[in-house]
Amino acid sequence: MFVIEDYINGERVGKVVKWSSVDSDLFTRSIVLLFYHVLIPIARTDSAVLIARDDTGVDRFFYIKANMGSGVYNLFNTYNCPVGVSIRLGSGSSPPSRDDYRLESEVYVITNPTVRYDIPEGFVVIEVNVFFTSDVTICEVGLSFRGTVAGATTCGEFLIDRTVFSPCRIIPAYASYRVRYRVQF
Amino acid sequence: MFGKELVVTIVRRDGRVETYRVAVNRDVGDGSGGDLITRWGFWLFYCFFAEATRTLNISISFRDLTGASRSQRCITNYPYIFFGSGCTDRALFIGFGSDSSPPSRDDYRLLGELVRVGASFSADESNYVITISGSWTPASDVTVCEVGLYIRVCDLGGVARYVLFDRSVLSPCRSVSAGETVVASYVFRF
Repeated sequence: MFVIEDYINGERVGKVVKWSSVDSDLFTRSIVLLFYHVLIPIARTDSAVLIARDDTGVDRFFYIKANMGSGVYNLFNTYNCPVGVSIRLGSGSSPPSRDDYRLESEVYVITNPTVRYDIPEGFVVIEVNVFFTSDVTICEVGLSFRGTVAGATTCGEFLIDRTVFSPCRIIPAYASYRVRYRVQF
Repeated sequence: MFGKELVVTIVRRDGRVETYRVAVNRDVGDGSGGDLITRWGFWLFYCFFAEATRTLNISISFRDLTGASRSQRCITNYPYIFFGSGCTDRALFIGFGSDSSPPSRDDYRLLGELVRVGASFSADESNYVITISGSWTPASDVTVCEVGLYIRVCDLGGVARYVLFDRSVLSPCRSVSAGETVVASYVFRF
């Protein structure tokens, strides 16, 4: 399941469902953990380590993101770049397209959203809470991934989702506004 | 949309083909298949499961936020990362087994493994479908009750490890005679 929910002052305004649910078995667990470690924001030179049991029954450690040094070309190399997701808010309302590479009209970017997972329920959540000092209209939400996008040292970011709310959300000044992506398998 | 399906096919000695679908998990959201997140769901799975002979690099292409076209490796000749091909041939395997205990998310191997065969990996970029298949022709009569998907990847010490990603149980079990071929295909749709 891939769901985007938003809340004003804790009350849900809307929900957009893009994929629907699957299951909560071994595959779900494996994929949830992989997605979690891919999505969680990791600082430059840090690493994200997945623990998984191998076929002999021993827990093993796997780098999903790591400082691989200056000679390794890889999207998940943290040698010079932080690697993770950001949530982006905007006011553009044109229909989403799979060729979108940025929001139509970006208002705000949150670079370190909360990322958490729940194995029994089989989901990963990416969530932000923000407030604005004046009334703001939010019509589009984006999820972007940042990492080493070229060579071993070129940092960059690319959009992996753009969702348009209909109607747009009017966020009053100082109201708490929460956007939640939920990826469920 | 995201779906996982396991298709088991048995080719009998007389040429008959029997097909069974198990562990079908497929549902459709708002029908927006083919949108941006669908495309990225596909590419992330591609990077999770892509096979790469030792030292091979695999790249994906995308446009960054500035509009620049990029091509970057997600599988790299580096021995200490899940996405690395530096310690081993990064490979997928299908296991066939005889145990019919219900699957658990704590499974880490097939419980009655009969054989583990190399799998083929294919990605249909046009339709956002990834297929992982393995086949086995046993030399003697067997009963197949469970199917598993293993991936061999590098751990952080640079050692190749086999990790079970899925265990599915056939109900009822299927008898496969010597010389017949059983094929298991995992199909992921986005």
